[in-house]
Amino acid sequence: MTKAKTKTRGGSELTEFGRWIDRRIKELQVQDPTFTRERLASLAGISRQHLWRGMKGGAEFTVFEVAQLARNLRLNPDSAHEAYWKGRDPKWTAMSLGRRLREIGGFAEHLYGHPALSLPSDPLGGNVRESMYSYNAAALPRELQISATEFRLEAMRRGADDRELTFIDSVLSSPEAIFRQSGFRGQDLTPDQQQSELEGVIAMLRAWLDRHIQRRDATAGGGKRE
Amino acid sequence: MKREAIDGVIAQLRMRYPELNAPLTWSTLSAILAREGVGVIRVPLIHDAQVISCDGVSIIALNSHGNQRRYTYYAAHEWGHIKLHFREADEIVYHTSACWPDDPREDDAEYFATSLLMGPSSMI
Repeated sequence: MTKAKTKTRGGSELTEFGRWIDRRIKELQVQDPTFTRERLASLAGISRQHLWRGMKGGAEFTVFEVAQLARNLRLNPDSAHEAYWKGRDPKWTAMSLGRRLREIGGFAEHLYGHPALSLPSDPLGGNVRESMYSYNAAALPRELQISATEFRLEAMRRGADDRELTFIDSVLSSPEAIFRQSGFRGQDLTPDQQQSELEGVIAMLRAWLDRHIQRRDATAGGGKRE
Repeated sequence: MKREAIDGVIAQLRMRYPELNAPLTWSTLSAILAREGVGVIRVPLIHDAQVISCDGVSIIALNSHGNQRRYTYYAAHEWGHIKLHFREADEIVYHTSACWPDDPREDDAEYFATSLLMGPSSMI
């Protein structure tokens, strides 16, 4: 697979996605000269080193990170996904995430009727959220959607904050998390195996949430004592 | 990652945890993971193990139906992902399910796990 790259001043090269980001930063700088790569990294919640390495193809961005970058560049997230994955992986090239999201977008309507999917705030931006949920909907049989939604409700009841919910969503919704097991690794799972896989993922997320909430509360408690 | 870089990470871990200067055992690994704040759970999975990590909180899941004799190796492999591929504080989301079977990060984690299992005198 080849990656289109462009030379930068330091001699390193930008990937197609890197050029896409770079070009957009320059466009935004016309209106706001303070909009730099560092500021984009900060807004997207990633380190500037990771952003720079990712733009040069030396680091991988997650689905979530690509979405966050697109949101903060004020661009269509689907285009961002296409720009990022185009040329990176034959599986994605043949059936890009953006195209798949549009193909299966009809599933979102079903999911949007569920109150659990009304986020207290919208850290990803509506378009991405819709896309991710629609992906999730297509990836999971209805019984599994219910299990995933119930866990999300459980997390909300336990006081998960936006950041924690975003991580949970990214794991439950991303194609790598669950759908990959049957779609991308060539393993056709039985419904029982799918259920088992999802329960395993949810058990991991539950353990992660326990620890993350504990640590968050401990940090908050420590701050009060000071 | 280059082997030298992985060796460097392992060398640092051996300085922090001298018990890693012997071939790795389950009791050693579980004690170290507990000290590192890495959670280990056993749940039914369709594969051997997996890991998620976000905000420096990592959870390794081992297949409860899997071969328990292989738990040390599986957990060491997933720990390899944490030490080699996840940074602890400066990013939001990680989960290694993004790794494909032919992902070079899998090779990194294999090398990491094998080195620890065989101990510092190993020649891999």
